[in-house]
Amino acid sequence: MKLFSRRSWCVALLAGGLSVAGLGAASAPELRTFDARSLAAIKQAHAGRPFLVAFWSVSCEPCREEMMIVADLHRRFPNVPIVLVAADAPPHREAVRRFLSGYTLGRIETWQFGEESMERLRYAVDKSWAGELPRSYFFNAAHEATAHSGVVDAKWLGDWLAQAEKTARK
Amino acid sequence: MHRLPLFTLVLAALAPGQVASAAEKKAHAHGGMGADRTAQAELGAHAAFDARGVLWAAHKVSGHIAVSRSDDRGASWSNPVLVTAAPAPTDTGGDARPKIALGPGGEIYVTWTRPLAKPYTGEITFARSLDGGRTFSPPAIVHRDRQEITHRFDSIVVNARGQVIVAWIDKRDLVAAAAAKAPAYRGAAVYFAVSDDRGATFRGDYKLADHSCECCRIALVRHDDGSVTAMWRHIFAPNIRDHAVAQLFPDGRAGPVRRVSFEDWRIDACPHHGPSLVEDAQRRLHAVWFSAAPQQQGVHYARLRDGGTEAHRRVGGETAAHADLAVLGPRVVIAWKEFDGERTRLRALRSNDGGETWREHELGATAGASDQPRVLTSGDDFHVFWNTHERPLSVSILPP
Repeated sequence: MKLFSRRSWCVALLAGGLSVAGLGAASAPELRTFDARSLAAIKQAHAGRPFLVAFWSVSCEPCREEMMIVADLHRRFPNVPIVLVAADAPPHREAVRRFLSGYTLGRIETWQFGEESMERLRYAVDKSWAGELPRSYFFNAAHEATAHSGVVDAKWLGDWLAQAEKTARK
Repeated sequence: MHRLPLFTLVLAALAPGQVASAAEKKAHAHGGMGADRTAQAELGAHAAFDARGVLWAAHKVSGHIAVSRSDDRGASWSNPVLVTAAPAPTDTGGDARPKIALGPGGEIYVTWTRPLAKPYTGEITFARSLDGGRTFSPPAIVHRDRQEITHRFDSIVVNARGQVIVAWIDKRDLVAAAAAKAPAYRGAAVYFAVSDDRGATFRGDYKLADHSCECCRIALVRHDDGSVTAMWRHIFAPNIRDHAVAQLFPDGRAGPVRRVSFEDWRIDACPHHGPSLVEDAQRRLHAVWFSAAPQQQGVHYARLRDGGTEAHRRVGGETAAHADLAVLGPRVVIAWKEFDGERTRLRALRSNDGGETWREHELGATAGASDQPRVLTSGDDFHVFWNTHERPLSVSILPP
């Protein structure tokens, strides 16, 4: 398993260090509350365009690697919308902010689960999602979604984003 | 760990039944979103019946670890006794919650995971009451290893000799492998510690198994000879998150790791979804677990035997989750929760023939947040304990 390779650790430390050094006066990104209607609103905001929604949690260690891959590829494909949703209850808002502040997120939207029950929020996204994290949904321009559980493969995501960027330009 | 003076904190102002609403009010008074605690994150609870039929629950009250008792099988609850002197942050993992176990001499043992500053780290924390739940010892750390690493997802059982056994998920081997520039270590490990003196001291840390999954609860079941069998989500190479069992012995020995579930769920993710395990009078192990492998998604039940399973079946529908089970003679009861689009339903399956045939029961539903259910037995009855935002520490008695 490559999740906890030394390389990953180094990159994590580097990313953490850079953010501390580089964050400076940058304002904290907006963290919106994700409710049972939010996915519909997100789809509407990106009507006719491909986009990625990635669910993660502060208590999910593989999510750290997913976050690095997503943030890294976003810099190469900044025009494809990416939406990060923390599947953490509202009391963990500060932990979510702390976690996100460790990454350079550019134009990535950030959301966090609201007060409704976890089951309801997950069901509103996809009733076949059992809560495993990370969990990603790749929406094409027609907003047909492909779901993926587990850390996304960087090469695969790079190819998908490249394709999505082409579609977005049309 | 040393014997220290006992202390007590009783939330005397609260009348029975008002515990959660008081906690809620406090959370809301703190401003909801910005508060440290709201009901949703604090629903993690655990319960056990003692030999006299008194039901004991470990849960959170205003951020504290607390223990409450019910003399009428959950119809009403005592004022909670606070185990922690100050509000105690607890692990945020979906499968983490305070645990309670009862000793043969009326001892009450409580464990929880105290998070440390670094993400994904924690300490397994223990407190006990030797005076029937009136006072609890100051919290103590169960393990000798004091690195700021993962020691999380505590599980506790009192064995047939009255020894206290605590098992947990531990990442010291992963850290050691990284420090030694050895090949990356797969997942975490299961460690345990044993107390021979009713929780005054623990000895360990004994390793039960390498390569467990990182974020799922461990199931423990005791045997007549003092040994215990543990079941956990394992990581079989390269990344198959199916289940394993192994026997542990109070002298610190560990038996071989045996694979018991075969869905072949290959995933680099946190399922946050551990198994449950019980033993029947014929010494057969019955288990429930969760998988999201293709074509296998959902809750599974089976009896475990060498090299495979028998009487395997699926439990509930597509959204079934967090099952637990208990046995009484030939009878087996499984309870789980299942979201139907509007409400989270509490459902149960009962078998009167050791898991061959089953009948289904609907036990309740809630529109709000809820914890995982626990199936408990007392006397000749099965009970399902379910802590929900709407009905704190609720108990359903299964119809005979």
